[in-house]
Amino acid sequence: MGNKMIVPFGSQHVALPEPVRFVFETENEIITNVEVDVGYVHRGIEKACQTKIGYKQVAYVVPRICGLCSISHNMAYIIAIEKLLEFEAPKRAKYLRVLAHELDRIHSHLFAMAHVAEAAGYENLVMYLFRDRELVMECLELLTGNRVQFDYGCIGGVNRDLTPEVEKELRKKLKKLEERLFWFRDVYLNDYTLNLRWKGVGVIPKEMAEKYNAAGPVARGSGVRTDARAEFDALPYRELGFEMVVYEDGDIWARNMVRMDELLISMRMIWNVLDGLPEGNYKENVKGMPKGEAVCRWEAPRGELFYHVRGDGKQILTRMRVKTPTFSNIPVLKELFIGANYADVPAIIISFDPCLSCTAR
Amino acid sequence: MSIRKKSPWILHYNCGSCNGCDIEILACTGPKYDVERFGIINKGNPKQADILVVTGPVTKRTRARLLRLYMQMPEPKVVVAVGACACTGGVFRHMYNVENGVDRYIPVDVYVPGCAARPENILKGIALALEIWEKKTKDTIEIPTVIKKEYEKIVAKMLMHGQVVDRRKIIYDLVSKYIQRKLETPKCD
Amino acid sequence: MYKNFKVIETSLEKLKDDIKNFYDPSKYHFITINAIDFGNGKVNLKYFFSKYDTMEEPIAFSLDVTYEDTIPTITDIIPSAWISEAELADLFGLKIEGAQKGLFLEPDSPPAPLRRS
Repeated sequence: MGNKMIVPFGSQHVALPEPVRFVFETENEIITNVEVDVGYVHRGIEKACQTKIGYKQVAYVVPRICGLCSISHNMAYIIAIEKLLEFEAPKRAKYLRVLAHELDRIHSHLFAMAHVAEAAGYENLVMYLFRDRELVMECLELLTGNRVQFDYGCIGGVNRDLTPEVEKELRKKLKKLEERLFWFRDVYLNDYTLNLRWKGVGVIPKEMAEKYNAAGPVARGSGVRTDARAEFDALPYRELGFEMVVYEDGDIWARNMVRMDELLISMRMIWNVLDGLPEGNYKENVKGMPKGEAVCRWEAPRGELFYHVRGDGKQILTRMRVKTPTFSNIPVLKELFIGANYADVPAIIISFDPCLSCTAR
Repeated sequence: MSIRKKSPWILHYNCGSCNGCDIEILACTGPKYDVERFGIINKGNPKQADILVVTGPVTKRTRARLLRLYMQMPEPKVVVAVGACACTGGVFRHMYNVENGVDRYIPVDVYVPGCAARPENILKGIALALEIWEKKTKDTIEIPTVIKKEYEKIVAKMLMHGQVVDRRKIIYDLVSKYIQRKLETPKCD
Repeated sequence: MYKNFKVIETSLEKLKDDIKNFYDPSKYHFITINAIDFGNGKVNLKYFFSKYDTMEEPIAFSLDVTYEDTIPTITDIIPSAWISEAELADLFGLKIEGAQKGLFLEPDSPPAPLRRS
């Protein structure tokens, strides 16, 4: 006795900050089939980067792929080019890159967690998270000069040094933030309503995550040990106290706890950077033209970001390919919906923290 | 009308932006900038919205959706284009899947610059949009009263002469004449 | 030439067998498929894999194809590859078994924008 219904979801929806469209075929509120359209934001950045923009300027175009993880795009591209030019950035620059990138991860994760809380109807927590997110935004503005699109990294190092005054201010704000993070962890771990809403909803078993090649917090929430920070030698993460966070449950709650614990790990790395910042140049001149092929795997807040560049000794690259985290999470998301309850759809989508402007480029 | 003036609702649509301006709009609704103190609520329903906040350089797939949202909003409506790429196309200008700005498709009242636009600027833009919205409200009240009087005159005359009255045609002619007159008279600001 | 990844050369006929023998879902993470157009009608395809939780370099299966060739799909071995294949079919206009066009492009967008010729 099926009551068949077709429910469109998107591209403009209250629960969605971005344009993505799903068409659900439901039978008594249980989803039987789903179609996904991710191409709303396709702009053609790859083509522009290969035809009219020189390889040094591309570093300032790729952050415009995504505003939430702009620094990840910027730095992943820079590291791919530095591998091509066989250039090693100075140690101070590497540490500053870690600092900016981990601050960006904190702001992105807080944003994602606020959204998931909103989908659970927990308005107070959303406002708390947004208030404390502003602390990170202020830190980023102090460090880089802008709130969202920083353009902090450049080929050869970073664009701005960390002055002692800024460092003092950063320490003050981060101390305040750290206390709040412990409080948030307590809420996420122990709150009764949140546990009721999230535990056992949208479960991805480990085999499914491996079969569909999930990335980032989605995979780590299902018990797959994958993190590009531990799999690619882009920056000195190991010596700054990086640790992989893995939860076995695979539900919305586990994905959130992965994000929550990663915030604390990021915080630890930031303290280590501030305490042990080496002296020296923050930027060096790089000469030469890119020749050959190189890749860069980078752990963006949503998962593995992959850059593949090929240069043939000219100003303009032959090929620049971006594979973004949400792009590899779309297949598992599509598979997860089948058999799920329609009422859980917003919570499941947002727990993936999809970034469609990344996906479509 | 006074209720709508005191709490205009905004509709936010992302037509191809990088999410940078979108998260700044959401930060505006957060506790630090707090756009809700002006009575503004971010609603996802075009039929209840007064101000349309658009980000992004209108990709080819979003343009029809953007037009539809604009059509569904009730009069009077104000459009705010947030960010460099919504104003002109920005860094995406002349890429193959991009339409170079919102004003190619719908009339824009306020342009907010910046990549990404700062929350302070977005607040200023929405405040300006409110002023424009008030002006537009006065205009739309004026139209029906003027037309109504003329319409009654014409219908009475036609009935007196025993003619068949095509009400739709009369209203259409009057409105188009009215708009023509409005366009010809020079604006004074 | 290849700075920081290993390349295994393969061909259109051997591609599916090679990937089937190599790929183990619990050990390897399938990253993506990438194409490079050199402008002379030839396209270089690379299938990237990386090993979980080690510092080993990514591995790429590389092969040269032309726009007339029909490329076998690998979705029966790696189900999540459909999205990469659809992207290649869309942006390059390559013929891939079962890949639908229209993931990113609209009817009035330029067809196969990343093709050089």
